[in-house]
Amino acid sequence: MSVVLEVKGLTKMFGKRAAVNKASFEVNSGEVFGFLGPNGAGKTTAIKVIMGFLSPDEGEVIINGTNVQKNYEAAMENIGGIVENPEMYRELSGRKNLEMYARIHNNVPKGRIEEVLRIVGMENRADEKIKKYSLGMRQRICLAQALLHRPNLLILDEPTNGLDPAGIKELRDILKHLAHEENVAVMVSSHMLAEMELMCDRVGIINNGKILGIMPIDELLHKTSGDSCYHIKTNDSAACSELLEASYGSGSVKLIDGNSLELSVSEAEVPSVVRLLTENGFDIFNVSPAENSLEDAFISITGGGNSIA
Amino acid sequence: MRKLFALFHNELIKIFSKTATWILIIIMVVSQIGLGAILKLTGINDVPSFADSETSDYMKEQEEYIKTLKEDENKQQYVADGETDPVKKLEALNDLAQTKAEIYAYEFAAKNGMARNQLQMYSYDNYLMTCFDKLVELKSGEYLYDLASDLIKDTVNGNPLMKAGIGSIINLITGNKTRIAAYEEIIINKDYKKFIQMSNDEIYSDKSKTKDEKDIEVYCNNLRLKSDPTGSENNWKAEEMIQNIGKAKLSLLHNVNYVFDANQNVPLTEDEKIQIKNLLAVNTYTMEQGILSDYDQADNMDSLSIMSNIGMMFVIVLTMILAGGSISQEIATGSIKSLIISPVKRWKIFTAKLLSVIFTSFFATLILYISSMATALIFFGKGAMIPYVFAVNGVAKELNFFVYRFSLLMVGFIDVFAYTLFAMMLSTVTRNTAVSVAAPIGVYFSSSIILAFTKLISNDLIVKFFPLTNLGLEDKFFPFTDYAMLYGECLKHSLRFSLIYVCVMCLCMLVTALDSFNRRDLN
Repeated sequence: MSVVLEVKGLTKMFGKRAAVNKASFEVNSGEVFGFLGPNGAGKTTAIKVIMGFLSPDEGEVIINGTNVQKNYEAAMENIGGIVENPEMYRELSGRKNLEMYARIHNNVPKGRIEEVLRIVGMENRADEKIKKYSLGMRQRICLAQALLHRPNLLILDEPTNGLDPAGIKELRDILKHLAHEENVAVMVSSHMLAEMELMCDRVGIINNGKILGIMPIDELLHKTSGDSCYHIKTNDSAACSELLEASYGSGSVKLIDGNSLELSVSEAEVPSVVRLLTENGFDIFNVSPAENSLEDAFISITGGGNSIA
Repeated sequence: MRKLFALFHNELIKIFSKTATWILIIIMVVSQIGLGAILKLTGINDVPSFADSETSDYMKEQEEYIKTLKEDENKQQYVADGETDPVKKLEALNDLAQTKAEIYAYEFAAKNGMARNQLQMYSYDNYLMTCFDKLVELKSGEYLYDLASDLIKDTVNGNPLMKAGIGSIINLITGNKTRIAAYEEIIINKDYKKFIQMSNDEIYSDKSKTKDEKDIEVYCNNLRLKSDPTGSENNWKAEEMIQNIGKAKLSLLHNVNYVFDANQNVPLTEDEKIQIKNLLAVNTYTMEQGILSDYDQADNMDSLSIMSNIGMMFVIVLTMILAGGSISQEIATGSIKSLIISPVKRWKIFTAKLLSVIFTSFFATLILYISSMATALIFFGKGAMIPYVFAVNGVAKELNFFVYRFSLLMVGFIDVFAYTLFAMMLSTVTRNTAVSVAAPIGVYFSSSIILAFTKLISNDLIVKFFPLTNLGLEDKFFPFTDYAMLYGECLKHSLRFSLIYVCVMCLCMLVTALDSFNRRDLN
């Protein structure tokens, strides 16, 4: 793994407001890096600065060892991306749009256009005009364009917009393949946390322009809870809940539904819990550790303003 | 360079994939054909001839007019008979003589199957009208002498001045009988050559002019005969040219500017001398070589110019739409993003867009040229395709018609380039397509009104540095066209100044646009 994208102390001001405030992070080859944050956190602004739409007020962006501000053309040579809702030229077909893009790059061989069209599943619709495409189809063509010149850094801002569930799964598989098999550095920003949980290797969380933390996703999911939490499946979770509250305190029990509850205890106390319930006549079907979701982690971090570093 | 060319190629694909581009080009071509047909059908270039007119109606009108004149004659006779004061009587007899002469002239015309009032319809240089007028002048003198002979005798003896005056009148009248007969013969035979000869004789007998002045007038007369041997073409343009030749020669003779609207109390400057020599050379060459279109009867602008100007409007509109939307439209739709994330610097993107708009505009201009030439050839024939005659240091030269027309369009293209840069500058600065397209189109179509207002400004410096006065360089590159020479526009600001001004103006707009596009964030 090598560093493909380095962002150092990046700051972007809009008037007096810092949309991005001394943000620093790296994206490595062979990983999918998730860039998370609530609306208005500064994700898209940061991506726009990286890709040259906006100029930074402070800091620098280095892609493949080349400073974007100092040598724009060389820096952008191996980068592909989708930013916000990109549009192609509506009067031209998908294929024509790709041909135009390929013309600008040095290294797009013949046949590559067909290849990327197959990757995104647009080979049968490529000769229709863009204005006839649905949102999802336009998104696919934009992805095809981003992949055309085999970039080693792919930056995707909300790439799942407009895609159906099958399309989202396809995209996830494509990005994971690119990262893990073809060693591409992939940076994705999205609000679809469930997807990010399935797709990303590492995440960076941003809020109010500041990076709150960057770490592998597994670590993030386990880091936010103090005690372990166990999921118990029983025949009468309400009655169980009353019994457990009496022994362990009301704050440690959370009723899920008629058959399930969650109990916050240490691992050593699990056997005692099982004995208590069985001695009182309750049937226990399952006891397993309950993992935090990325959503829980995300809300707890960005809502509380806590850093996870 | 490779990337710049690739971007240029892409921009051309985008432009020519737009339906609006082709629609405007097709409408432009159709307008040329349509205009050519309309101008041909409405006969704007047709030479009016007597055969076209309703001669019988004019003859009837003439008959009625003669009756009216005879009634006037009777009344005037009555007044004259009743007048006792010699001076007043002479005046009354003079009026009567004039009326009698008019009656004579009209009756003469009627007897020879002509309607004098019909000739007045084409009265610009109609020699027959002149003959009739001369006839009236001479006959009225004759009639006056006959009517007032007793009165003259009575007054002569007591008045030596009158005696001297009457003597010269008598001599004049004797000579007039010969002239009257000659004019009548010219009218009957429609002998234009004889008319010119008579006119030349009269010029040479005029003792108030110098020999050189007389030679100039006679030279002009001979040019009239040469360009129109029968005197029936009524070519006002030829007449104007001949008059200009006369004025130019006189100007050089007297060292005073008779040609342009100038102070005639000061001697010619060296520049004016050269301008007048050039004007003389151009007009003389044109007349002597017979380089006059069969179709020069219309206004200042001939049909080809009308077609060309209207065609150019389409080119301008197309160019403004493309240039005005080049940046702002892409920002609005978001398609600029794929350009920005390409590995190309922004100035190359801008340059490619500018070059593609200029190329498209040039392409449209070329189509305009071909379609207007083809239309002119089909509808007006080769007679309308006269070369452009110009002069350098008093020596006349000729430029092939097709080369001239093409060059004219290319000079017009300078305006197109300036407006393109204006639109692109607005497109990058305002990022508003409506403003970027509407503003340059508005300025272009209201330029003649704006320029008219500048003529009200007395400060020459303000006018000199006003952008619009330095555009429209056709008259400066080709100052020997009718329009340019007629209004002397070519004299106002030099071509060199205007070219430098336009270059500087374009450079400023280019730098502003590039700087805005390069440095501003694309949010």
